[in-house]
Amino acid sequence: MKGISWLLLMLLLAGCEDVLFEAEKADDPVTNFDHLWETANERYAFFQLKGIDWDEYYRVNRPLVNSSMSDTELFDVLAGMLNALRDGHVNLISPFNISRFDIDFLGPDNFEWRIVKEHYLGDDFLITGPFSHDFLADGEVGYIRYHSFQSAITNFDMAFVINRYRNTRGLIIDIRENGGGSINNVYRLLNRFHREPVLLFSSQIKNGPGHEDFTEAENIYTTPQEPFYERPIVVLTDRQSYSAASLFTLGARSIPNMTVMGDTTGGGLGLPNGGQLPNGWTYRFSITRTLDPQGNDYENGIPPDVLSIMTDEERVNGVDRVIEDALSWLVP
Amino acid sequence: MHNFIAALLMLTLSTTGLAQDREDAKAYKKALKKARPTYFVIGGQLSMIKLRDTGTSPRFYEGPTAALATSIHSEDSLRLSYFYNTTGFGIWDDNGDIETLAWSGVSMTFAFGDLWKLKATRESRIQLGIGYNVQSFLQFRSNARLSNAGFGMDNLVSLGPAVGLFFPFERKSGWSKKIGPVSLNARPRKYALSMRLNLPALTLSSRPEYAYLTDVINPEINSLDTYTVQLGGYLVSSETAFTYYLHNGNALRLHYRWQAMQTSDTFKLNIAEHAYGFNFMIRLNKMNRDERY
Repeated sequence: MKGISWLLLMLLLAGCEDVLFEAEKADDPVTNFDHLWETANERYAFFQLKGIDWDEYYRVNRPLVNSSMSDTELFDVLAGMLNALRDGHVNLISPFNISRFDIDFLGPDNFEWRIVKEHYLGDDFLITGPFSHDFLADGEVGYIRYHSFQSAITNFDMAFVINRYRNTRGLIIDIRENGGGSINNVYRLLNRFHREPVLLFSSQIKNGPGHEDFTEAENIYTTPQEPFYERPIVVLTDRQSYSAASLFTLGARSIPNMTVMGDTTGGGLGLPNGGQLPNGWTYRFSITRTLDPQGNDYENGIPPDVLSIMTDEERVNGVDRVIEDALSWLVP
Repeated sequence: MHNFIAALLMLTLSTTGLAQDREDAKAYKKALKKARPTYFVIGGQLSMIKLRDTGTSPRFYEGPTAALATSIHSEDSLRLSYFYNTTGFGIWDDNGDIETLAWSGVSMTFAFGDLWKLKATRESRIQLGIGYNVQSFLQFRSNARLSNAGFGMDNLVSLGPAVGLFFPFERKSGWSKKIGPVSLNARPRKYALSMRLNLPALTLSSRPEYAYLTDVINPEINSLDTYTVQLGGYLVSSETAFTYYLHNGNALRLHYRWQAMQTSDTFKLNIAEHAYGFNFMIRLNKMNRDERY
């Protein structure tokens, strides 16, 4: 009896989780390298699509890591390995640096906001919520600039712009240099352009350590919402239309009255999630993939229906080639 | 014939007697329950929470949590019954070089159980009780630095045996002392020290699926749809409490609660909490005559 009492007393007072829990991983360069390589190997979604032999990156990079290297040297090795994924959703974040794959350099600069304001909109365009907008082509076309999917779109914003441009011959939605943001805003826009539900794309989530271990594809449809704009719409894109902006572009391709014009988007159709290394640095990479209704994976960028690239000469002369082509498309 | 009638009469009487015994026992139990001192307990709790969610990090995060603690506590020399809840907010960081990297969120614990004090120990100075405990730990937390993995909602529920030690003691007679101009008076007083250990026999946990994605592209899917319920892991806990009984039937109570848990999925979750609380115990039923002193 006395023995049991003492045993209980010891257990009650010890707070012995250190005995129960596995110890923390060691914080040394080799453990950090292995943790990052393994986590990416088991969770990153696009090895097969991108034709990346991740084992080869281990063989090449692992010998570069040793216990006496500095943090900056370790960062360079890890960042170099991650940048081989050529993915704007991949970052390594340390207190002193953030690694990134810069989508800006995937193609030519195809957008200059100053040119749009100076030569097309003037200085009295409207700003409604996240939209900068006005009439072009003598009131025959409505132009809507949406600079970031991080800026929330409300029902009022949508109803206002659709009602304002309901009598135009066409609409331009400019998402060039829109680096993405919230997926909810993708649907708030796409739900307004067709009265019947449209299959936009399907989504799959990694569900195992194998490179092609994904859940079944789940189809995603629009949820039509009034008021509608059902006349022709041109979506302007460039290589910096990334992540949610690419997702919007992918959906737009499935809506009958929408045409994508400009340059291939930056891609980034997977959802990134984050994690941490034993040394406290964080990382992120995509763990889902999004396919178009035909099953194509445009993670590396969605090609436009109509290619339109602004030349340096046009830029100097204040001509936005992509807007000009869109106007010609809508008002031939 | 007479014998048969006599036998029938005896059988009827004995059956009636058994039924009467059962009724009496039921009434006795009811009376005991009614007389058992029962309290509504309300207080504050400060704790240190240590957590590691290997779905997002191999590192432990630690930090303080402030909570409101409430419970219903019913105890006499035969049995202890309790139901308690603590709900608190905390911030937990990993003491790393990235200073803004922290989880913050709400932790809730619900528990109920019964302990029956063993007959053999009821007259001893230290009584031993055995019974069961059902405990649920729920935590919502967010960490914007972890992108779409930056929201965590974890729930563990554990059912298992509980064992407790009860040490009631008292100051039987009062005293008074005068030290200079100050006079000190001590009245007779009852106290209790108790300890309880709850072991896990059956543990369920709700965890994000493999990808640990708490946002999804499909607007039809709620983030919680990506969670799975798993059997396994453990939630072990203990409570040490000191109760100071007031003469009006109420009491003050200090407690130290410890709990540690682990899920059984591929990317395990570990959480441990050390909590210190101060509580007011408000008597809900009338004091019995033999309780007054």
